[in-house]
Order: sequence, then structure tokens, then C-alpha cells
Amino acid sequence: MVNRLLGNSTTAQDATQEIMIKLWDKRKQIENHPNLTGFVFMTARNYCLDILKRKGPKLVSSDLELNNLHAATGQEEFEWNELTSIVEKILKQLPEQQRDIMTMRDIDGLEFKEIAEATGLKLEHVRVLLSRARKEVAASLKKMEDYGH
Amino acid sequence: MDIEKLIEKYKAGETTLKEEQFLLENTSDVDTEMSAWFQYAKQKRKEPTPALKEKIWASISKKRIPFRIGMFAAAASILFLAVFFIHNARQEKLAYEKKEATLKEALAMLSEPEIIPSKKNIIYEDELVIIYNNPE
Repeated sequence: MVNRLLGNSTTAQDATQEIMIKLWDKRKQIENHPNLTGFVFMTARNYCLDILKRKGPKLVSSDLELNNLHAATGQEEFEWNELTSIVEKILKQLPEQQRDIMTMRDIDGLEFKEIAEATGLKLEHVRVLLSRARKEVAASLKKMEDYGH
Repeated sequence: MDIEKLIEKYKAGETTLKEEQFLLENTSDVDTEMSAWFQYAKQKRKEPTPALKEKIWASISKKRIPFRIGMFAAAASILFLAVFFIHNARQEKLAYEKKEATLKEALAMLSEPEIIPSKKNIIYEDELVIIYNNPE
């Protein structure tokens, strides 16, 4: 999750290290936390969001696409970059909460209770938002396929 | 496993992580609108390297060493102060004993004062009253 949010392996490793040290310092306070894994994810997510806020805005989608096109060398890589651009464009159109929940579940592989803890939402609400996000992504992808992108 | 049913379940947010993992790994040849998403999610999933775990533990250990050094320094300071106070108290006791010995020595050099009985002339004495005069 840290890697996905920060988008840079070295930064992500450093951030993970910092997060774990923060948690280690708080180990006495959190040892009896009812959802420790969720708390860890919440801490990690907040830490990454802080870093991103300090860093300022990310590349806009057109720059990202351009970067992907420049980086592509082989056919396979070109296709992968195209797919990434499409999917990321669709993800960006989702409401922020839905996007976060969908990526936390499908990319980070978190349990519902971990997502609930990390986002501060109720478990049932997480399920509802996830379902909405998945249906929206499915509909957008279908629409793109129908129009031939 | 019926993939189509599983995809419907997935869209409803009712699949388990295990079922979702199955979908990510087994839908590359299935014609579904979610294929692109599954492909994307599968590629984006990253497992932390074992080296990261070691790196984290190393940095936590480094952080613990100064703490231990601090603890040792505090313990050493307390021990030093304790030794200092005990030593001082012992010195004071020795000084007192020395003074006492000097005093005793000085007293021994003096002769015992002679107790001179008082010269009282008892004029009258009964059970309750004694009347006397002192020529001094």
C-alpha cells in the first residue's frame, strides 16, 4: 500500500521503516488494540498522505500518459502502459473514498475490517462503497470496450 | 468454480480475499469487462522484499541501543551518587570518632577533681525540715 501510494520503491521503503519505528515507539499503548492490523494500515496510510501533501500535486493524467508512451519500448510494454492509463483514468473518475477502498481491497489485499479501521468507516459501509466502485469500474470499462477505447 | 457467478459476487463486494485472488489469477482468458481491472490489479500487487523486514528490524535495533545506553548512564549516575554519599557518611563518622578519641585523651591528662564535702552545720533537723548554715 505504501509503495502504491508513494509510487517510488525507495521512498516507500524509507516510509515503511519510519512507520514501523513510530509503531514500535507506541507499542505499549497499542498492544491491546482490538484491530491492530487495521491500526497499522491506518497509520501507514495517514503517513503516506502527509508525505504526499507535503510534496504537492502529482503529475496530471496527460503527463502520465506521455511518460508511459515515452517509456514504452516493446509491444507488450506499450499495451500494458495503455491499459494502465485507461484503468487509472477510470479510477480517477471515482469518488475518492470509493477509489481508496477499491485499491486497498484489490491491490493491497486488505481485509474489510482493516479497510474499515484505516478509513474510519463502518464495515458494512465499506462493502457498499466497494460494490459501487467495482460496478462503476466495470461499467466504464464496458463503455470503453464498446466504443473501442 | 463458475467464474461469471463469482464476478457478480465480486461486484457486489461479497467475495473473500481468496476468491478475489482466484479471479486475479484465472480471468486472463475470460471475456469479461473486469479483465482489464484484474490484469491491472494483479500487476500492481507488490509483496515487500524480505530485505525490507531486515532493514526495519535493524533500524529499530539501532533506535534501542541509544535507549539502552541512556539506561546504563542513568544507572551509573545513581551508583556513583550512592557511593559518593556512603563514602562521605563514613568519612564523617571517622572524623567524629577521631574527635572523641582526642577528647578522651585530653580528659585523661587532667586529674580527677577532688570532691570537697560541704561544711554544713545542721542546726535543726526533723522528718520534714532541715535547718543548717554554711560557714563559706
